[in-house]
Amino acid sequence: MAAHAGRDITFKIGDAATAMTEEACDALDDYAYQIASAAKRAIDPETEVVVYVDGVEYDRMVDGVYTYAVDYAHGIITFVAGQTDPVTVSGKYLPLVTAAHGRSLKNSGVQPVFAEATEFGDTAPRQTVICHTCEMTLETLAVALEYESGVSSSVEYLFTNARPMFVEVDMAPGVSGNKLRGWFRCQISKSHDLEGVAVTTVEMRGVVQSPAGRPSTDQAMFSVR
Amino acid sequence: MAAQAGRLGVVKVSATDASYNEISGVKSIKAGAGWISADQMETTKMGDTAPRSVSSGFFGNASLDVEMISDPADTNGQVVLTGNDIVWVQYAPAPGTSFKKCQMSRTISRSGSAGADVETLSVSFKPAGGTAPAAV
Repeated sequence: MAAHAGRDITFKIGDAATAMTEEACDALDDYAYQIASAAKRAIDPETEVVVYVDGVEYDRMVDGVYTYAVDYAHGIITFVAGQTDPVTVSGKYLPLVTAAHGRSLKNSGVQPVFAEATEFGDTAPRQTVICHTCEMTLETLAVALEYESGVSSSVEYLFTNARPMFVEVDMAPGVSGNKLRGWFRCQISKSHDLEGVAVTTVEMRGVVQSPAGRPSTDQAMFSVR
Repeated sequence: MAAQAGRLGVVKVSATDASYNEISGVKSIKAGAGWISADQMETTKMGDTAPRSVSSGFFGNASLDVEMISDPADTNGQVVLTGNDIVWVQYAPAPGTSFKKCQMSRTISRSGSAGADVETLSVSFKPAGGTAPAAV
């Protein structure tokens, strides 16, 4: 068995958006291209993305149909038509900084919400229906913070922007498929007692962002990859 | 690692949003969600198939619970709390850090026993006067 130590979990938060110009992409297949620099894969949804193929700006729409989709959380451009030439991307990305002093984390994951629908007269096992396609919470994330105004690695500092925060949680660093990334709204509470560290608890709920210049089907949202 | 000791938390009180004084004998502080971040309002509606949507609401749940050793001689701090008027309260995670203040009502309970424990006050503050926690 290859268990992972809980202390290996990484928790990062997005800092202020930074411009990127014709950033190189790696081909995942003929249709999907991911920004090569892992540090630049969180694309800022408030800035329009411009895609270039072989150095020429690629039309985002042809005959009213969008020609590519954008995964803002993981920096992936997926074309409708297969590509063979180099792909680059301009826009803004969110630099990720390791959040200071994380101590515990609980993640309920992306999963449907079920409700019991068993009725009088049913003889089969309990019936359930899916009431919501997915529920995402990152609950009871308790971090002990040294309170420093202006420290960008402080969750509290970034939260003072009063807007959804970009978060990356990697439950198993080095193993693919365990990285949760996306935008979350946060509620923060604090507690003090005489014999312990001051504890800041952050409760996060995944939210969907409407990106600039993109269709509603291209929502910037949380996902696991 | 530079975690902060819990004992450094600071609570101050004023009757008039002026001349704040630190409350003595504080043993524990809990600043609930709402002191630092706004409440969250769920905006998911019938017909939505996308994941839940949430928006920021008011600071209606800005609770602040403080437990303290009873000190009747603390005339500028604890004694201010014993009146009936709403008061102004400041909270900071540590001295010299950014404070937030809010006008608040409160309920107080007292506890004591025949043993060696000191008498304690448990004060539960809630926003009042139509204000929300604001930076000092």
